[in-house]
Amino acid sequence: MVTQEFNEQPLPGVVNKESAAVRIEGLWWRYPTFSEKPNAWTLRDIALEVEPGECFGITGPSGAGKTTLCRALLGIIPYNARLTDEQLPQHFRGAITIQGQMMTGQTANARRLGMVMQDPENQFLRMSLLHELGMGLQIQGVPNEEIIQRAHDALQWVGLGHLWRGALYMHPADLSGGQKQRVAIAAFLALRPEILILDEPTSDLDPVGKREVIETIARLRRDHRMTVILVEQDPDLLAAFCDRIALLHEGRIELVAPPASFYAQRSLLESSGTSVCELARISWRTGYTYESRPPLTLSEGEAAFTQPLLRHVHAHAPVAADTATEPVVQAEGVYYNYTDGTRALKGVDLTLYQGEMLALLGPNGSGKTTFAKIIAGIYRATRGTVRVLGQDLAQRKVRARLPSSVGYVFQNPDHQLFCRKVRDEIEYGLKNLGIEQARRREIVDSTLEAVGLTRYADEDPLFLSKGQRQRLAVAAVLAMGPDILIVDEPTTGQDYRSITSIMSLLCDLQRQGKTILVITHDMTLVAEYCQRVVAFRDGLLAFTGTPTELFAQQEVLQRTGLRPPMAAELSTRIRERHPGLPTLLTVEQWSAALS
Amino acid sequence: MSRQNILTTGAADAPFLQPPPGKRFVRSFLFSRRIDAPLAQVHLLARIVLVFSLSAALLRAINTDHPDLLGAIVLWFPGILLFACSGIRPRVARIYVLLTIPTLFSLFFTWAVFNPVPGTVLLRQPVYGGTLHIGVALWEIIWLALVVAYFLWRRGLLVGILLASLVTFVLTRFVALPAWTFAQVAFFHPLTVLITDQGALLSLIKMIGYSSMILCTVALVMTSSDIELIGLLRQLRTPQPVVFFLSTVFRALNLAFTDYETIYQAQIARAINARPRSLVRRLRDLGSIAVPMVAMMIRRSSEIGDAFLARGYSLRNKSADFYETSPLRSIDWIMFGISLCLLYFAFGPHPTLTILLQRGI
Repeated sequence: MVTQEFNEQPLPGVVNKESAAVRIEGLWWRYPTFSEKPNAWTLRDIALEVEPGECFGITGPSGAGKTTLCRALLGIIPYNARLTDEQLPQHFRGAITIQGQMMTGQTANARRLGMVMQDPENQFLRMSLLHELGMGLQIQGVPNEEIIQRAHDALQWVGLGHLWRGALYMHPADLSGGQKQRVAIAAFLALRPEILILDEPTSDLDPVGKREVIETIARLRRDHRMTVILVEQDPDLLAAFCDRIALLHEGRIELVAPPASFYAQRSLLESSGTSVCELARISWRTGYTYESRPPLTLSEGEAAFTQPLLRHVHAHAPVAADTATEPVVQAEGVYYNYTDGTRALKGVDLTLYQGEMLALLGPNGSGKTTFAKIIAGIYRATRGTVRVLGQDLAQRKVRARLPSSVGYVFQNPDHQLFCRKVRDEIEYGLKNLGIEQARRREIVDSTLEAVGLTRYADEDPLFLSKGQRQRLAVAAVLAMGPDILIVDEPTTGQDYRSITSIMSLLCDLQRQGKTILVITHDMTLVAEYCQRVVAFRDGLLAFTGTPTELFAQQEVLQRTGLRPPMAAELSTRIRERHPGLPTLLTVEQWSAALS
Repeated sequence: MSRQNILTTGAADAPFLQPPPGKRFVRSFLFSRRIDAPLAQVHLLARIVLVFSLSAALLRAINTDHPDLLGAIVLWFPGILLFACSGIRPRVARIYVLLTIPTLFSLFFTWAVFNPVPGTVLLRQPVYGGTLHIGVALWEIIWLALVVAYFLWRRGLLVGILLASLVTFVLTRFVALPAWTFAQVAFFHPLTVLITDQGALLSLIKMIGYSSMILCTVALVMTSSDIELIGLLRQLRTPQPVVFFLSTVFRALNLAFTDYETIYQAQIARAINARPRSLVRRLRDLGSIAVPMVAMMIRRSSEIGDAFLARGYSLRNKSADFYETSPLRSIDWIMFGISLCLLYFAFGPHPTLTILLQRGI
């Protein structure tokens, strides 16, 4: 057993054994396998204490064991893993104590903990909103009057109070992804558990929605003294809401500290590939600090960077203006109605230019994905004209051949992998386009090389990691040689390294002259990579312009549920007092301006 | 929204039990129905009993031994009425009617041809003389050449066969094409299509009866939702694990359908429609959907299990009713009364309506 360097020292705000909301001691876990060779340990000697009423963050790269740890806290592991008494010690060691009570097979499902998971679809267990909200309380035998009151309150808390009328008739398919995620959170808020575990609960929400939901949970925590364990990749949320943060890497807890000390551990965070706040990254690169540590809030950032910025302002190079090129997509008056009568687009006019990287933004259900699917020929516009590379998409034949010109990468790679070998997967689209075998082989080899998957050519895609599957999905579309590539939420639920990897691939493609359209809620991505942004609101275009222009317009940001990244927000704030300073949107720009 | 308003849990006018504002249609087992569809106001149990009773009465009317034309016509109207009251979307209704018509015609001809009934002969058409001719005809060579040529050109088989059949049929009507017979072998016995007036009448009665049964069954499925079915099972005191299992199956099917839509869209994005596809190719593409579907289902099933456990669910739990069941109202008892009449019509010791009419005349 490997000892924990950090946990052997007293924890900040340490609690005694009896009063801890959650106490984990020497927890080891490995998943059962069907072969004789045992799996590697997923959790390794985890030792943690969470104080009652504390908001405890857990972060770390993908595959670190974060979700497994949550499942262990809920007792799913090991008590629902169907292990015999003989098998149990081979897979599970250690002890978990919840509110002073040792977790056993009998106490594992004691209803004191709730867990909201990442994918809202898999948590929507009933066929109406009303029953979904009431399910947990129904199981607990709570009277119907109280269920109604609590369900109503919970729905209000997550900003969906308007759905209460008709909740009985509201089918899961009537709700957008973001709404489902809020409902999943509301279903647990209605339960009012003493300990609430949130496993990346806001990954599908727009930036403002994300903030609103977490603020609600923080308020409930204060009001009801609820203990919250927040598993997140988003460093801004962790820094703003958590009392302490734990770094989980390769199944080990490598660091537990309050946010200010946590984000001061540069080497540890960088080596593990953990996502870090923009302000901390600026501080690391430039050496400017707030009270000898990286700033985490806007006020701290202002205090740390304003004076150096005033000294270095002359060194800042102006951001180059983008140059317009040939239009590749021209949409005029585009309307789209779904079969259930919902009008998703209400007259969209938009032109895309060759070689640009453009972000489609907007709140959940605003019509951005529908518009992108029309450009890709997956949907046909109900009204209006769409011309892609000069071809009118009203013609069925044009839409059928469109994948050779416009590639669409779906959010979940598992939806788009059809073959049992990586090589066949890339070849699938090429076969459909009727490309001859020798040429296909050449394209497959070069594409595998480009995305760094050559050594996995004969592997089954289902056994690749999520990041690799995402790259394969991009590669499979890329192999068809499209001039325009549409990527839906490429960074959702991904760690820093995966995000950097996928975005550098997209940048390479852009440099080759391809037009990239990114549907995203990630404002850091927008600021760092996109030359132009288009924001949707209720099926209409609410804004078209550069990221700089967007982040300067508070009214547009509010209307479209967007929120600038910390670096851009800090720049806006400092410029209010010093208008002569340049607008800085990214860590790169800040670093250049301060160096 | 006032607190008083939220807590009117027993009242039917509680906001959460009202139709959502601006929404005219709600989802059901298949597609969707109007929120205010008259048939949907009837309790699911009463609807099921009514549809089954009507079907039983129709089965008696279309009985082969004692066909009852008048009975079938009279019972056709309630079936149509149920369909009309189901609140089905006009577009979906048109599709169902369009699909039903060829099915019924096919039923009519199949029954008339393969179930000979004594009576006045309306049609006598020999179709096979009892001898197999072994040889080759020019039209066969033309047909084969057309099919092969079409396949090489468009990689399609079904359309090629249809086109070749049409061309050779038209050709043989206008030109006498040569045929070469090498041998003749006696096989089976001569076959003749024979349709009598009684056979045609029976087929017509069957067609009327089945059309009514199809439409009232569609009406039942269209107006029912999974929540209603779960409520009914609770009211019928079905064991909790069965109710839980069915409830999970409905949700899983809904998820599978959503996944299927996305996966199919992903296939479109990978150019499956770029070229005309043969039937084999279409089947292979359909089969390739299975890979992501199974992967998604495995991943989802694990998370759904976790989600149930996270809500504190176990099969030992006995959860109370929460707006799932609904009490039987006057309209439901009226429907049960009508069902009883229909059941008497189906199984009661009475002559058929047609006989009663003939006696009256």
